[in-house]
Amino acid sequence: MQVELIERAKRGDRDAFASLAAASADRCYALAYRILRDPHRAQDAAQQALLGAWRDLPTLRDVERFDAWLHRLVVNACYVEARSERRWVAKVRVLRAEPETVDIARGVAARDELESAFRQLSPEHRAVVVLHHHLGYQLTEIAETLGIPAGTARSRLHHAVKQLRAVLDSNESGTVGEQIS
Amino acid sequence: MNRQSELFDNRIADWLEDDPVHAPAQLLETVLAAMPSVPQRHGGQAWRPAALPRWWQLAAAAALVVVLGLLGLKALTPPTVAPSQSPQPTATQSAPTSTPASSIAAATPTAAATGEPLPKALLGAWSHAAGGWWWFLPAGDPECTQAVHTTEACAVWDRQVTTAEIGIATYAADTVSIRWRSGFCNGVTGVYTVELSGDALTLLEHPGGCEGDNLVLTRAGTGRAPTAPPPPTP
Repeated sequence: MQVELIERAKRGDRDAFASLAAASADRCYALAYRILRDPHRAQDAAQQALLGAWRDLPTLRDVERFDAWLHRLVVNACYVEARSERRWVAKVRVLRAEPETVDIARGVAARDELESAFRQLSPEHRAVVVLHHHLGYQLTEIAETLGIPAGTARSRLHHAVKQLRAVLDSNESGTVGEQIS
Repeated sequence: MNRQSELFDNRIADWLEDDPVHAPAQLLETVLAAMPSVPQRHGGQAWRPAALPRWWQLAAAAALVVVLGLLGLKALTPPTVAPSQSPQPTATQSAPTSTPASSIAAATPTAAATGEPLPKALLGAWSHAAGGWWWFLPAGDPECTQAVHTTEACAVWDRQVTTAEIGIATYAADTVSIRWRSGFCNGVTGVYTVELSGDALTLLEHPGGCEGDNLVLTRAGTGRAPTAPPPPTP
């Protein structure tokens, strides 16, 4: 069904592309959000990617690879968005200090630490982490999707996870304790 | 993978899982509203002069006559030696794929004014580890003249996913600039520092490029790199 829609959209059928876009919008947004960590920028990136898909669809040789191709467009749109002049919007979360909510607060703090550590990664490293840990892509699929050598994908993933661990390890217990006490 | 790594990977996956999965309604509305104003590219369809207005065709023909006249004059003028400049190698003449047109192109003011000719060692086909082919073609190569209408050298990048990307390539001081004229990076100029070591070529992309990464290439037909097909015709 999707192949038929892609073929029709390749030939300029707007209704077919509208159906494709409707089926892909959530996926594009979810991917962009996870890389950019900002709803507005994610929306912009997903829109750019979908419009780019419409524009360049006739150049797609293998319609079976539409999903990977679209993911690549989203990731590239995220790179552009991340490098634009707009500043990251800081997310500030105030932790409550009541003793009965310590466990909840600890969980929230841990998530915020992960968020903070992830934001320190470059867009290229974030993309590899998201493709691997969220979409479940293997390294060869990441390499193919992003058009990079498998070795580069591996080293980016390794570096990103190492950096995340380093940031979290350095913040462990002490920071959480300070925030919730 | 050890237990600790597995736990950490799960932690990342769980954290990502909690992010939103539904796009705001405006996203699709905006795309569908903007779509009619975004023309589709036509894959594999070459630029056609017939698609241009009549006056444009006449202007292009007149410009071509002027350029050919200048070329004729330059060919008739005896060569002069500029003592302050080192002799410029004519890569196009020594290129393995040089054609009669390439030597004409090397003599054009355009080609000479934009930098040095591409080094001979760069010319030809290169293989990308993730699949795909990269070609550096000399000035005057039919691929360059027909696909991007340039008398300069050009680069062709076939990722084997979408149609090949072709751009005008100029070289100066170990740096190659590629003005992409078709494909995914169309309109973007990529600047790369060239690192060539034997059969290995690394193109270190400067900030602002389209790839967002360096390109590690191997000379096609050497070592583990297979022999390249001919560059795709646009």
